[in-house]
Amino acid sequence: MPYFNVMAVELFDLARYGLNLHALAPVGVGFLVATLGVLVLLRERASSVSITFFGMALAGAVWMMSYGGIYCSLKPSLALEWAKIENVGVVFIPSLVYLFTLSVTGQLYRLRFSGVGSLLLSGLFAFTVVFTDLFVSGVWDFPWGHYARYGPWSLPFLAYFLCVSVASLLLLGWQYRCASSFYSQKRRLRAFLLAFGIAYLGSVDYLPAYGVPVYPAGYLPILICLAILAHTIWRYRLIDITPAFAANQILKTLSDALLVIDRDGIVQVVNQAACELFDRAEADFIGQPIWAIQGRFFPPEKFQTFVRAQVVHNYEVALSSKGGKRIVLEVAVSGIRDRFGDPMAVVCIARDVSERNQDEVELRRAHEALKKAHQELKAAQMSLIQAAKMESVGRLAAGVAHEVKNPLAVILQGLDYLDGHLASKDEGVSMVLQDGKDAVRRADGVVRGLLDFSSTKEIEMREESLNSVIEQSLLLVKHDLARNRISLVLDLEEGLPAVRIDRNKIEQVFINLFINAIHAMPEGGTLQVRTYSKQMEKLRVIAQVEDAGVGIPKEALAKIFDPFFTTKPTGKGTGLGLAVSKNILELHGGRIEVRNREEGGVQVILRFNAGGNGGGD
Amino acid sequence: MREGMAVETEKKTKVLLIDDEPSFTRLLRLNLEKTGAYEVREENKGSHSLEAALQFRPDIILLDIIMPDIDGGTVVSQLRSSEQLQNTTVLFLTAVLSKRMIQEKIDLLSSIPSIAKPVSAQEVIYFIERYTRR
Repeated sequence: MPYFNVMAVELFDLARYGLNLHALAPVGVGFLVATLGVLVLLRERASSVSITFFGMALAGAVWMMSYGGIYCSLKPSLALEWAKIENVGVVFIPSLVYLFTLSVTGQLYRLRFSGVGSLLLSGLFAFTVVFTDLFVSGVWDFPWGHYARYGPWSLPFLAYFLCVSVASLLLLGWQYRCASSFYSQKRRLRAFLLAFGIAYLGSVDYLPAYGVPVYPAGYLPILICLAILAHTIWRYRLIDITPAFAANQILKTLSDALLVIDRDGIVQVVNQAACELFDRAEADFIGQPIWAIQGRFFPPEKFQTFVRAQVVHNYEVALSSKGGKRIVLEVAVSGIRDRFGDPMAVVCIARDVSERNQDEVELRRAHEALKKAHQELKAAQMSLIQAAKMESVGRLAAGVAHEVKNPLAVILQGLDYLDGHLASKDEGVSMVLQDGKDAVRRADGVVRGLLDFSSTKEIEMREESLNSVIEQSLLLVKHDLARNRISLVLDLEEGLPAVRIDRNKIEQVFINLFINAIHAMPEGGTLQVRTYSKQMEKLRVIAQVEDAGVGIPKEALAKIFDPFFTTKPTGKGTGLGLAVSKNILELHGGRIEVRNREEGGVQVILRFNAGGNGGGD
Repeated sequence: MREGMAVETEKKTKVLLIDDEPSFTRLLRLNLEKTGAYEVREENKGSHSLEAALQFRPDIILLDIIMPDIDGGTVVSQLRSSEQLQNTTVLFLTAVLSKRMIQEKIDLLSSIPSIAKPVSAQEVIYFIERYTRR
């Protein structure tokens, strides 16, 4: 290849050049274009956009800088060499602009064949430039210096140049119209349109090549184009930061496990967090059916639902993970569709919520405990209030007892005195005296009731037969029963186990119950008393007292054990009988229940613990 | 009248009533005296009990517990500390019924029987007879 050797020697022989000031402007512009290309390549990394931009800038720089060689060459033959170099750059400009346009509009893949075709055509024209005189046939001698002289092959090139340039501009314009105005892509495309539109004014440089003596000031539009491009690129960069652009980084930094599973259930994409969650390398994931990796992750029968679903499915699933630890995953699954709307794959994002669930469980447990404690506290408070009520009733009773009993004692002594001194013992006087004494006794009874109520804590426990206590109590109300025409049905179990009780107190309880029953049946009726034993968790002795009376109004049932609560007419009851009875039963470790019978009347059930260590303190 | 009563003193049981309620002691005295078996003296100031007892030398003392100037328990301990009176029978005749309440006042409960007011004259006589029979 002696031709090239000669050429190289000539090109680098500075003696063959002379200074031409016309060369300064295009060389400077060429240098700036090359610099911009390199900077973009460095800044935007090796993306298709930056590479095509770099190629475009390189071709432009070759074109511009070669003017230096042409203008400064002393001999036409050397200028011709430079003209050939220049036009190698020139022929690649349209195809590289086209490729850049494809890249920046996202059409590179779709229109890749046209891109490659234009590159090949440029290559063909470059070949004719370098190896024939058909393209560059010689040099002109203009007042500003030598200039390339185009041969016949330049004409098809110009046609090609025109077509590709128009195609590029149309493509940019079309994309510009499509782009959303909120998107920086729109502003960027507008800037490119403007820049390339101006740059094509540089075509003026073709005119001198055909002998038209127009000064080749193509470097001016190129300079303007350069300024616009530089500003645009620095302002909006060459490409947008889109989800697709950031996808890899997103996947890598996502702390939730992410899997993309195609419609056949094969794992296609997996991120670092998923690998850690399932303790598997990425290579063990990709290409595997999801069921082979984690069967319970989602059931195969549900998978097709997920693939077809239009909505995001959220669910929780418990798995045993590495080391057999139970973990709970919160999973969100959504379908991906291709551009025809057909189901293609599912994206599945899983988050380990075991700890959160554990926290929730503990929180719920703590809440329950708190609620229970609160209820207990409330109950305790209620019983404290009740105790305080009792206590105050007790104090009141003691004070009242003393203050009432003393005058009662005076009255009774007075009545006794009159009884002994009145000579005329007619029936009326005797009756008055007797009524007076009865009234004193009744008043005393009320006071005693109060005292009993406040002094029920003193109990003397002995083993007793409950049946005999009942019989004794009945004896004391025998007359009242007869007077009120109440018949007695007694059903006392023989051989009833002994109970440990304070006989006097329990007698008092039964008398209270019998008197209540008598008061409940003013028109007569039947009083039933029954005892029996029953094996529950302990052996219990149970006494049942039933009357056939009016019953207790529903709204009163809750209050019957309150001190001073009574449904009886004034003078008939103190409202202390059941309150005292309940206190007494509780001191015995027993219970009292009062309920209305379905057939009318009231049933009272007393439960005692059988045997020697049955209750009380 | 007083002299006539004095004649029969030897046969009669001497009863000292100590209670801050004059109407009660007066009526009880009348009721007891009516029987002719008792010589009765009233004392309505609890703090004068020892004095009255030393002077009257009763066979039995019916003593109230709750009195404004002194309580029955203190009176009992005063009587017990006197040589002449330490064997005199004492009965509580009180409006306080509960054992616990009595216990709050005195701890001599076990040795001293109590009668709860109100009581009829017959009941009082029954208790006097029961505790003075020797």
